[in-house]
Amino acid sequence: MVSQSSSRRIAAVSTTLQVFAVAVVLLIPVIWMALSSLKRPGEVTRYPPTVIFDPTLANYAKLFAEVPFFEYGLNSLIVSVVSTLLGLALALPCAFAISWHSVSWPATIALITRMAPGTLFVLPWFVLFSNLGMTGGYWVLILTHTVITMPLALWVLLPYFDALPRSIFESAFVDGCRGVKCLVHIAIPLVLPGLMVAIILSFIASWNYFLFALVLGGIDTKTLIVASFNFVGEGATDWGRLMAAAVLICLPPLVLIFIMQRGLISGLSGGSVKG
Amino acid sequence: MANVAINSVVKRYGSHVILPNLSLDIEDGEFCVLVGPSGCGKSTLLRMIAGLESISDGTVSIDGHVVNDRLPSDRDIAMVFQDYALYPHMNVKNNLSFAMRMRGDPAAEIEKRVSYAAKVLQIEPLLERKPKALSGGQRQRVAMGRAIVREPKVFLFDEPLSNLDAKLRVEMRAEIKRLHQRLSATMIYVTHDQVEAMTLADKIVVLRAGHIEQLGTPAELYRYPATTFVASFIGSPAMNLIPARLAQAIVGLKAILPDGSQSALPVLARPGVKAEQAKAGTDVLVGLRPEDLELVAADAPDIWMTGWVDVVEPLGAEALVLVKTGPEQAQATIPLTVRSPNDCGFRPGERVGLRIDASKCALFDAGDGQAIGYA
Repeated sequence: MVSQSSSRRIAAVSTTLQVFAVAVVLLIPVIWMALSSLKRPGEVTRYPPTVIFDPTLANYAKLFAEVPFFEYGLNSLIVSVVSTLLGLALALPCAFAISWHSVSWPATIALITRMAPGTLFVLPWFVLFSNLGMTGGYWVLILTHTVITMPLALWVLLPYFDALPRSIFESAFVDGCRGVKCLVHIAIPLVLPGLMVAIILSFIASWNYFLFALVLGGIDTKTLIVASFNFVGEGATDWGRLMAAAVLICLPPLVLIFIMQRGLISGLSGGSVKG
Repeated sequence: MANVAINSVVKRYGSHVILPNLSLDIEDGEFCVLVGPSGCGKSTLLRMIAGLESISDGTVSIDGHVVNDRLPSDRDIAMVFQDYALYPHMNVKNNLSFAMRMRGDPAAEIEKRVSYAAKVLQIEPLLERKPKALSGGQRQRVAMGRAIVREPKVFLFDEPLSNLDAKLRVEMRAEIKRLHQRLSATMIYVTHDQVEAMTLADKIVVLRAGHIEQLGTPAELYRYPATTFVASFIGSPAMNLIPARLAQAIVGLKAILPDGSQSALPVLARPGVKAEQAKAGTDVLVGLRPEDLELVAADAPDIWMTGWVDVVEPLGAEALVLVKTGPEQAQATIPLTVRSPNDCGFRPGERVGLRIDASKCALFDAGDGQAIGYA
């Protein structure tokens, strides 16, 4: 008969192995990307691929020398940060209202816009924003990316709002805290973990969104993800620089996750009501 | 402080009517307890007074002003919720001061009132703690403190003790009573626990399916229940309701009891009750509190009725004896509860006699449950 402590140990080992297996599957492309960015041109596409090689930073040096990488990075940052903030500014009161009134159709409509392929929007938007003289500017990218970030944030936040006890808000109403005040003083602090998740997912979605930036953006507002596409040529692709660009593009979302992970705590509402 | 006037109030959710037409006056400084079974509309009524539920029809007035269209924060009320509803991200001090900060009160005044509430409720050492670091009783104290700090015209309590364990509930009950004595504020308290209602109230309002079944002081409701519903709801254990048939009408009322005996009932019609119902042949229910029945030997003189002991429940200081009565032991199906001394000496299955305190008897119409008269 297996003792309780042995079965607990077996369960722990089994969990670790499963997590490790999933991590390996997820990390292999990332490791491949990082290694490729450190290889010389001939080595990147060598078959069979080499794991042990003489690493070089030449791809990075060439990238920074030939491409205004930081300008593109700044463009990406402006578009992603503002569209994330705008999406959240719309999604927060929206999620609060949907949850409070228990109406699901606005959330469903928002989801449909998220589920629809970007190509569905891109042509009408191109015509619309061209006529408005907005193509090539920041605002067209911010507004179109908000169409991505807002439903995403809304659906991330909804369960957090749904989980909050109604009596806390009723108590706030009696205390004279309504509307925006209630959102700021009560709701936002209580859905903070959800807000962190929404910020991270929205930022990543906007940071990586390619299509709208390609079609509606301009030379001055080119984002990193569009700029990296320049390394893919018709005849040949500069894999080394492409991988170096990909590594650098990955960094800001990673930094954001590290900064915000402390906010991803659960159980903030513990003790407020009888549980 | 203020009086609360509820005038022909109606609450509908679509076609579903919760409160058909309810009127109630609560005096200045009165402790009014709304009591009734689940779904009777007591919490809905309280929430309508608070402004958390809309009023379909009728008016609610506080201190002479109709408040139907006023926001909860503009009604000068404070509410203590069943689940405490503390703000989890704020410490106790900020929880207590939140309403005043929202109102923009001066910091010195906020400090003064928070200190006073903390002192009254003995939560001074807890001011820097977050709600999750408090016990159930402490959280309930903070919830009450939040109400005290506001110095409202009316305090509203929505089953505030129902989440506490039995011991803590007794302690907090006394705390609330002490608070009322100290503040002399108008308080409206919702509960389904009749013990809370009896111990706390100046006035009890018994609600049933959205109607006021009876209102009065705890003593009035206990002694003179208007219906069998009130008789069985107020008092623990509930009033015994013994089916009988009137053999002789008022005055000199006589009833044929379940054991076949015929007994004189010392019941007189009181003003407001339906004396015309007390006709010979009417099926009635004789109401007697458990403490108004006395168990004696079956062959003792002056017994009122006989029965058989079913179960004896010792409570320490006394015992509850469940007796079943009927013409014979096999047909003894009518249960009675008798409060008797712990050492009554009766055993299950034993035949016993029952004496009554003739001055504490009530009589109800068996058909509609309305009171006919009281001794």
